Amino acid sequence: MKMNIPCIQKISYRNNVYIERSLLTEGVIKVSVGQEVKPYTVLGQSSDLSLISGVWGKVEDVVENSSVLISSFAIDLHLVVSSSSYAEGELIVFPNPSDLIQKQYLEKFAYSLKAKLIYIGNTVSLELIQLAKKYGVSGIITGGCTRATFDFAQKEGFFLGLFSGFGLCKTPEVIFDVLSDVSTRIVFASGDDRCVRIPMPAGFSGMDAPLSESIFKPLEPGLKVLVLQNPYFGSVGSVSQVDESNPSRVVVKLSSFGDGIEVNVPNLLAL
Amino acid sequence: MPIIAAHIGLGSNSFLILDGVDDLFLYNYPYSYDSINFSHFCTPQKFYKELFELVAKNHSLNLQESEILIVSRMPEEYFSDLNLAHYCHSSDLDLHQDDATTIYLRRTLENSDIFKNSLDLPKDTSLDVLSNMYLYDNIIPASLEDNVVWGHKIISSKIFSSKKKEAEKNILFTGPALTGTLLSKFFKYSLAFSVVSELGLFSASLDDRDLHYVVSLIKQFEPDIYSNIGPKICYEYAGKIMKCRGKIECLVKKEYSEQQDFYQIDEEDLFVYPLEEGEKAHIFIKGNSCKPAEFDIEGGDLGFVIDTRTDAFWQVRQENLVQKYANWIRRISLVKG
Repeated sequence: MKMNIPCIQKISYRNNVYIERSLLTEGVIKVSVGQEVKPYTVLGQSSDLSLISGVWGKVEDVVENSSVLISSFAIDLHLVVSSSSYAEGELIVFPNPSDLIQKQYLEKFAYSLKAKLIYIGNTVSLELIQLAKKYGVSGIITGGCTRATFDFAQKEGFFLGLFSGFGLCKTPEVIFDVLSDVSTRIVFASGDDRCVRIPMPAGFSGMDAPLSESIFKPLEPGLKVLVLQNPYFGSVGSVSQVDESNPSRVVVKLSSFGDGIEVNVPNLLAL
Repeated sequence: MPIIAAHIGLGSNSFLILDGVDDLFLYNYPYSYDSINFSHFCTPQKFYKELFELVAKNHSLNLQESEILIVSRMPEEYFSDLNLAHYCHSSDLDLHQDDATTIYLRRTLENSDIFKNSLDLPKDTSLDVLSNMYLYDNIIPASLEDNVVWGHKIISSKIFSSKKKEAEKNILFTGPALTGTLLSKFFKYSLAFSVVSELGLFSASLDDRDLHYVVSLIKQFEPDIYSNIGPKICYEYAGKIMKCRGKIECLVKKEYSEQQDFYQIDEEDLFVYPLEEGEKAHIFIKGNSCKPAEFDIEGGDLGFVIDTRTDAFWQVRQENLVQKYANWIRRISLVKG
């Protein structure tokens, strides 16, 4: 009997999301209901700070002197777990540096990291979280980290969101590809909704992508899968071989690794 | 009318299909709905509707024309898109048998306590594996190390005594903790034996496909159908298992053989004397913490087992545990292949 495995969506396209933008202290709101806004539209002003929109969309509601509700378009990147409920800020994307040079990257940008949300690479160490916290970083998103690192972030109330899981996991390439395209954009990470929400302009590519018609897909050569087995946990690849006599084992060719690797079913999900 | 009786669990589902022609199929499926990975784009109702449609299609059945019975810990509304004949919550299913004590083992990973710092943790890497198993219900650790370290910590067991008093030493080990192709058979036996706290000699059978659960569902809700299929159900006989404490000396004499084999079994050990189905042997054992005993046994999938492990066994360091398992598996493989 042919094996089918569930398909998960690590990326969702949203064409009607509401994003609330708030002044930190009481001030003046400068937009009105129905007004179209762009990322650099100034929404309001408090004594020391301008509130910029950060998103494309239309103002749906205004709370006098305080906040603006905008209907917008977005891409949601699915997180499997996060250490606290919310973080937002300008997105900085590191190009998956090795552990050794992550710290150098962080220190290089240290003067401007305050309130930024950083995609730091495939994994993050405890030391880096401590450093990021010291520099006033709003939050870190990454492929994976050890439970000890995660527990530290949770205890400190620091936002740490994971795309894959615990341990030496990788960020699925489909997620990294999106992130690397939207660096410097203001993004919103929600632990409650388990996603990183990236505002997009109307009509962005993918907005009309149809939802997957079926949850289950046949496990057969060519199927794109997310590997959930060490040492390739979080890697994306495509099935290259299915042994009909032993359907509990398949060979997956990873996009980041030349040879096929053997993965045990059910330690993989379709993408 | 065809019947699909299903146990919908966490990372483990079993379907017993009666196609209406007296044929019986058992199908295990290792993926379940979890809110972490699916809730942002799919409801549990849609997930299980599609899963049942898939199972029906694979067995050339029309789901609309099939009688569906479900037992699950998940709420009934998860299955509201299906036309259910019977839904039974797991806690209401009667697993008792007339002629054997049933020990049901299940995984306990839905317990979000793993995100509290209250576990006895051998090593960060292993905690990572366990935490990932919480994030993805479908994962089964692929390495022997991770299975050994976590196997015992993440299961719970429930005992259903035999209805006939004289059959209470016959044990059937069953439940989703024992299903899944990634766990070695020996490891499944080892896990199962570890939950027997009573000392003595037992006859052990293993149901590593969760068959007893779905058969019990049919027995409870469709007794007439059960009376037809009941006689066809049998489980793999493992052999005799002696649960005892301390150091043990054991003498084995196989039927039709003059040779006698003598073994010394340590504390916290799991000794297996392989004896094929149909073979017989005479056993004599004595130990510093148990009375001498002498009895005849018949072979099975394992043969004769002496288990001197206590709870302390699982407290030893991870690398020692893994080494022990590797030795046991090597020893068994030499004989059984």
